[in-house]
Amino acid sequence: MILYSFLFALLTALLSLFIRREYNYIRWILYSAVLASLTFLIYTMNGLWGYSESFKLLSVGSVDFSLNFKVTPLSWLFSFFTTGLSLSISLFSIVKNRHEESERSIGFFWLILSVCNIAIFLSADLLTLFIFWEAMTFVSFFVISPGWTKSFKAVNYYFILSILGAFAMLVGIFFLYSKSATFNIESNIAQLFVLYELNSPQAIFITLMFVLGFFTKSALMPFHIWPAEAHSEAPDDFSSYLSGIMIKYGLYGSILFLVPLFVFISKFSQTQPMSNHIPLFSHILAWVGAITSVVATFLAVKSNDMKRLAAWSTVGNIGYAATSIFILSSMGVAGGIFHIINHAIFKTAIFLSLAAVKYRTHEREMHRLGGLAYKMPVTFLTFLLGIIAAAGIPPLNGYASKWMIYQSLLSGRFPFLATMIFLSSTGAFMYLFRALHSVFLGQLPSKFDDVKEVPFLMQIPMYILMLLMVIIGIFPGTVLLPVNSILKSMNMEEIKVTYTTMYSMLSSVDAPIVFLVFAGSFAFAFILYLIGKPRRHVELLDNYTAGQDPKEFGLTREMYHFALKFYEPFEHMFDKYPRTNTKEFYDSFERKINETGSFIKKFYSSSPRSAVYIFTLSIVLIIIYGWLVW
Amino acid sequence: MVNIMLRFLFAAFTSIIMGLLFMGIGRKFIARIRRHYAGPFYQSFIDVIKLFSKKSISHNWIMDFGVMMGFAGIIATIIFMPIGPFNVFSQMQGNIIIIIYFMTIGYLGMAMGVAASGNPNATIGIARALTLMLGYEIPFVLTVILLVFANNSSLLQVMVVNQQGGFMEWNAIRYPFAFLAALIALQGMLGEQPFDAMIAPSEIASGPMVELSGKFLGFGFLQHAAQIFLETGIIVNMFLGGSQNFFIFFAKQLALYLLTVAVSGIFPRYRFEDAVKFFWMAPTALAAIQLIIFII
Amino acid sequence: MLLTSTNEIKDNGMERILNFFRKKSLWMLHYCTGCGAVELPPTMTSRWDMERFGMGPMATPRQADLLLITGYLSVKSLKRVIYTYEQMQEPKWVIAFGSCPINGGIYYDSYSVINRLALYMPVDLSIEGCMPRPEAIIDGFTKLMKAIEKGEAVGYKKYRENYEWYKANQRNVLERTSAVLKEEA
Ligand code: SF4
Repeated sequence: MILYSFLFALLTALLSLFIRREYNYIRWILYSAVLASLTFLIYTMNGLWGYSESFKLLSVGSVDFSLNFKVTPLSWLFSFFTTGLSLSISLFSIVKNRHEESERSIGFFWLILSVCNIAIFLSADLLTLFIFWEAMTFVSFFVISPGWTKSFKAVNYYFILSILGAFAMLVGIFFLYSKSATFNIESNIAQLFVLYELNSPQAIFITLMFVLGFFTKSALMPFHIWPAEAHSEAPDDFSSYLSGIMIKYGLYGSILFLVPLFVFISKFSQTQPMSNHIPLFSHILAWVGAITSVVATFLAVKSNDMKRLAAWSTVGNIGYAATSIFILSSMGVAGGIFHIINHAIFKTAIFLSLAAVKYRTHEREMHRLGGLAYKMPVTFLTFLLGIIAAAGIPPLNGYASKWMIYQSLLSGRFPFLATMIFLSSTGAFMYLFRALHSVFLGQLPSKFDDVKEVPFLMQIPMYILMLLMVIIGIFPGTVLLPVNSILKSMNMEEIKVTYTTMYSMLSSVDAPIVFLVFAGSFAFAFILYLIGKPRRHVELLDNYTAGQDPKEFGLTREMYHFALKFYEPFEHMFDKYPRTNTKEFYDSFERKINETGSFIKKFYSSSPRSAVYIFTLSIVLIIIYGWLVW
Repeated sequence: MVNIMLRFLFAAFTSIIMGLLFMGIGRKFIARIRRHYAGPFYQSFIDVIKLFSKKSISHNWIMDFGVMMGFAGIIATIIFMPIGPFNVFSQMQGNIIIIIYFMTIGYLGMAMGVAASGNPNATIGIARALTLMLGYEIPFVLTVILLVFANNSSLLQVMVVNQQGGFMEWNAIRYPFAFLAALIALQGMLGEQPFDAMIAPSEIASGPMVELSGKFLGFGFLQHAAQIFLETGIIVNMFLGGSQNFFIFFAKQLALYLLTVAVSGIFPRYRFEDAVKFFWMAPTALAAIQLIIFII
Repeated sequence: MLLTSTNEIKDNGMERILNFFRKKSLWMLHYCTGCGAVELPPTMTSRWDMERFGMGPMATPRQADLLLITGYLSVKSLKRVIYTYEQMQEPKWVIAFGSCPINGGIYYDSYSVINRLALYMPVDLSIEGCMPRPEAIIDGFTKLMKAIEKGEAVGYKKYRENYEWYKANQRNVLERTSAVLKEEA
């Protein structure tokens, strides 16, 4: 069933290549239909835990290499939400891509990507995971950069980091395979645990390889720079897919592989160093997450490009989720998973609304925009709810998961991690408000006087996402109950939760009450508002200008919009401290690679003989290496 | 249901009335520091009624909406705070994390409302306020974490119960450094001098309030009043043992407020980036020291 | 037709009750045009303590109830004052300080200073003197408060009713001086 649906989707993608450019929208309607059916298919698999499929690729000797798919609570939750969100993005794309030049390749690869996406989540062993992981990396390369020079430069970072990460993971997988002779995930975890007891440096090395693979994909420190490049240069609707969905693979891998491993270690190991009742390794990874979120927050405060800002915000949120996951309490893991899902929803909403802004205005620099809320109310509301959720403000979904993260950090006694998360959370409020103000509030530049709201078809996904944010905010159980079954399948203690109420060791929250309190207070404020004398609307430039008439003054609305260098004094606070620029580091790294490459190329192509030398040498090296290892 | 609604209204009105009263007394107090008399202690009520009786302008629906949301956010936060012996909901007696996050709605609403007015002065004020928020949140959160650890609960009510039994049981005595840090943070939260760069009247024309007229300014006033009530209330619950008696509770709040007013009466104004630096140095160090002492 | 009697537009009913609060909380915007500005700080601070009456300075016209024209008003400033006045929200009042806004004072024959403020804006109260001392200012304020309570300080309504007339006057004076103040036009 799973495999056939994949083949069906790939076939559709191939067929869609024959659709002419004038009929772009037909292609996207087709994709939406395919995604809808995939979503439905995954939905029907709810509860079929353990259902598996296998497809033999080849057998070498007695060893079978096959694609294995399996439905587990974890894979179901992730694949269901991601496919559903891709569906809503593709609805958005129907109109958005009607006149897009390079749209054909985008759509084609994107549908393949959606297939890879489901396959990654459903894969039952490490080999399948790796195959689709790699396929996803390659395919996404073509979607981010459909022949545009600027995005090609940007995507390089992403691509190279991802490839390196994937190969690190491959090294890890094969090391493990050499020990356990199987690709099965559970037995590999057990094998690795045994290795920790016997030969812990080697085990740490293997784990580190996996960590590299996962962290490059999820853009945790020190690989945090690629989203800002790639997410901001990708096609606008694809950015939401990148940021909402694709960046989560690394965390998914961590939950799948690293968390059970660390839980094992913390429960049974005698030899491994512990701190705060969790393995030191895991504690360090949690710190990496927290530092990532703080760094990303400060970088987001500095950015003036709205998509870049949203991309940094994504990195920050991934940081929270990683911190929460790696402290290994069931509250933490549940909070992390919940936050991943919530982030997928609200970040998709944010990026879609930014895509809508760009669709109408063709601007990305925030100081050139402004006042669009008065022209595009639905987009504004989507963005507003998105940032309310992203800043973790009740009563939307973001606060529920952040609440859980704090509870887990506090009940696990990690005061400084909690402070870091608080810091980046407040910072998140800062930069998100900046985006809200610069793009949607303030003065409307006169060139946007006749901007209209996006077409209704593009509004539909926004309505859906807003509804999702509100519903999950009021009934966190809709996601948390499935999360509980994940915890059960991972042999972890379940958290106490009902449809409406979340409990922790420290306190409990009844989400509908939180919502009702807010609604009630708003009603109270509204009554007061009605009691006061009626107000009258005036136009935007009828404003306090210290008595000067703006018309005579030559003051335009653009000039009266305060958006550029919004937090400049704050940025200057850090001027005195030396700055390490990760991007520069990578740039210099790139130059080095280029130099080496051209050197080798020169050497290689100077005479055929030297090429033969190199070839033989490498073969010999490989043989010696293999001989040493086995 | 009706019961809950009545309790809700009681909390809302108490906070507004007490907040306005505190404001009035604070004005009187600061006037005495500066050796004059100022108006009657009920001056703030007169001001609010006058503001609501004035005509007003707004620039668009977002401004209306944002200003109401700002006020609603603070009121909603007060609903979760134990006011003396009184709690609106029996099961969530002051969940401090919810309170911290709920407060943000108020800020977001106000910020959104005034940003929609399109006046750069307002937005500069908001930018300053948000930057300052990044400063005072850190020491405040550290003290909150300390108390959560100490009481093994994030409910304010539990903290209050654990402080019963006299003056010496108060967290202010038990954790003096943290109390000091919280007091400094409170100064920043209330936007009193020396941390009032966001409402500098002659520099940026009173910042966020620049375009607020009539009832919009009235909402601003009410929000500030409720905020005074809320934030002093939180500190009283956290450090000064709350109270089982409304009047003692209010008296503690008032004492705390007068303390901040007195400090503000004699200080000039920090540049706000210096204020953020200050918050990250002195009070954060105090709170961290207390936390480390506690953990050890 | 210029409406001169305030009797027809006096506040009645509910407004009279609200006026009680309004008079006790007059927030002022002092437009420091002339010498008079220097008399305000002592009025505001400890010595004369204007805050006793609930009065206080405000930063922008949107927030203020009371516009103080503190002294002579050049035509250049007049434009700004009118703009500011129109940005204020009703109910709003204007107090003119000193002799200059009444009849021109020592600037009665100046080419660039207006002689009678009441031609261009509805002045609710004039405080004479050159310069009025704080006692006189406080006295003026209390008079205004009484007028507000009685519902008689309704200059803003007058301005609304006779808008055309005021506008014509303003246009007149602005046009007359535009030859001198060319860069302004
Ligand atoms: S009345 Fe006298 S003090 Fe006042 S502005 Fe005129 S000249 Fe100056």
